[in-house]
Amino acid sequence: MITRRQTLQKIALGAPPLVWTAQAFAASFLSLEQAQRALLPQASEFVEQPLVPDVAALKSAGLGVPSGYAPKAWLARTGEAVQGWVLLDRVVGKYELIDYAAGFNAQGQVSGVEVLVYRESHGAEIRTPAWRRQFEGRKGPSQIRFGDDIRNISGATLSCQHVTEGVQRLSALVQGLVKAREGR
Amino acid sequence: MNNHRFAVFRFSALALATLVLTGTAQAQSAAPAALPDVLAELRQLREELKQVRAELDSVKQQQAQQGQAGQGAAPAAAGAWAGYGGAAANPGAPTAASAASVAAVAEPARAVDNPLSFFGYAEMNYSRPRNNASGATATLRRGVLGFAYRFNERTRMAAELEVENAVVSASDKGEVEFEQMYIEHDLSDSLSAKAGLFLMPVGYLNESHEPTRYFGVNRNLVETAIIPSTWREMGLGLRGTTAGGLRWDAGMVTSFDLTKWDATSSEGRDSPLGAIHQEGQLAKARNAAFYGALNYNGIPGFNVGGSVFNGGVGQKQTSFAAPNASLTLAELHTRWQPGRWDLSALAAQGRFSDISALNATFAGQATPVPSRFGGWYAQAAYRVWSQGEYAAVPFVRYERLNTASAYTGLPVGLSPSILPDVRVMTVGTSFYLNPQVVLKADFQRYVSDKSLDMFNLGVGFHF
Repeated sequence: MITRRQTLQKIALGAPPLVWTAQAFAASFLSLEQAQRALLPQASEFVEQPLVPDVAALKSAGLGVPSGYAPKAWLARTGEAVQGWVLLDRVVGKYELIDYAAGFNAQGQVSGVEVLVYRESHGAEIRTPAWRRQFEGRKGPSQIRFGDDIRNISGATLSCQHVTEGVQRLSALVQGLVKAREGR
Repeated sequence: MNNHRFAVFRFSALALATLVLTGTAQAQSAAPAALPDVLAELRQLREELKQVRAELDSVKQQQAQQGQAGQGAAPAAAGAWAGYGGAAANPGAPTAASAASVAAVAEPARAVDNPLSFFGYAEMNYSRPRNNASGATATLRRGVLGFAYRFNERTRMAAELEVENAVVSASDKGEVEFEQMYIEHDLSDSLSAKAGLFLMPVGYLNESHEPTRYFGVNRNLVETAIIPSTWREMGLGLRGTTAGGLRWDAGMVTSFDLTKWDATSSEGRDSPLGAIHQEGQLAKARNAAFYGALNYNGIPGFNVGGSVFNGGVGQKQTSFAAPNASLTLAELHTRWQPGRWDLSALAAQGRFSDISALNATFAGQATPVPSRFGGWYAQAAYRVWSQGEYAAVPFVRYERLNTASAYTGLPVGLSPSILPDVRVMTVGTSFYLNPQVVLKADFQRYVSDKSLDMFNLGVGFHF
């Protein structure tokens, strides 16, 4: 039985039920909100922040930039106090996209990496907490080198490598955010 | 559905009535006594409408805020995050995206990604026997085009179409094959099932066989002659992972076909399983095989695992001497990649059972069916130099194997002698122009037979 209220909501809002259905269907491990809370639990709110990656700067720093690179960023706050940032990005694993989020504290150190959606069975081990923990505390691209700083999972090499490179790029962007904030 | 329509109709009618009656309490109190029910409903509706309007306003406000925040970067709605698929916005999605705020952001434009993807790899080799320069050859060993299609977030297919040795025709030695073709479905976040023609989760090379993923111009001998890479079967498989770092595989698939064994050819000595594989081509399927594999990846950079494959290979063929013959292949492997090092080792052993009657018919011939075959290797690689995406990684590998270390069912004196183990030391370098492009050079010294010593050059890539 559909109540009037539901009907009204459908007329007024139209689509959200469809979105929620689609989301329920997706093989996502975490929602963005869950990931944000997991990455910076001390923050009370996450405010989306403009992020325009400086592709030329990333490339000159020796970091590859995939076409269509468009990560998103949320500033994490508790009242006026900035706790850090959560960045949402996606990389190709072997041949499918991996949605992941990385948290950074106010100094730009990685607070964690969470996989939101993984779409292959190969390489799914990147979700293993032990692998993701390797990122914690690292700051800047020079501390997040695949093979040197972040070790591989045999059989999941491409996923490990591409997520590592993704976090490396994000860490460079976060360095820019940290500087911009300190410069204020 | 009818309820729904009726509700919409009723809502419209009541909304109209609200307009006519101006919606004030005074108007309601002045209404005729015949309408108390309608009025009560109207009152209720008005409250609900107010509530909905408030919700709508807050959604709009939220969106406006996000729009401001996103200025110069990207609009806040889900459709803005095109990802690398580079696809245009999904015509079905905009209204959903514009109204859904946080929920939509959490679901970043997944629907607009291109579900079709292509990938591939190739390897080209030059080999020159040390003591026989005239035997030098160059070949486009493998060229592979892979494609995958995502039906939805949980269901996808993948396939690899491969051409071996460049040309395929009646007079050439090339092959064209579908190396993989399967459907995969996620049963849960940590469990997926596949059906079709897929790779056996055995050893390191079989599932990760792109030339950038292994050392040496040629694939190692153990994972070629003992484990018949690239080994695929048709059937059903499950793969699960745990948060602790375990990955397990289990499945029921087609098996080998021992009726293909040719005791007069050396093929069975080169690779006992390679000689009788079926590869999804009109495969005899009277016998099924079962496989299981377990890998531990709980410590980054370290892996240990093993697998067992067991199945009938006689295929219950009535005119065949060994209709109940079966095969078991077991394998253990470990790999440790601390920093610049890449250390690995693997051992595999296979056994044929119930083959005595068949071997009795092969008495005196060159290549009876072995009851046992196996081998192992140990390998060390070290990244001596890297700059940007360039890297030089020399390696050394020692292998020891025997494709026929025992026979059963052969009359005394008619059994071919057991040949000594093949022992090979391979020393070489992989030079990466990029993690996906590799130039290789190596020298293979056959400790057991110097006439086989070989110098190899290769180039390979994957995308």
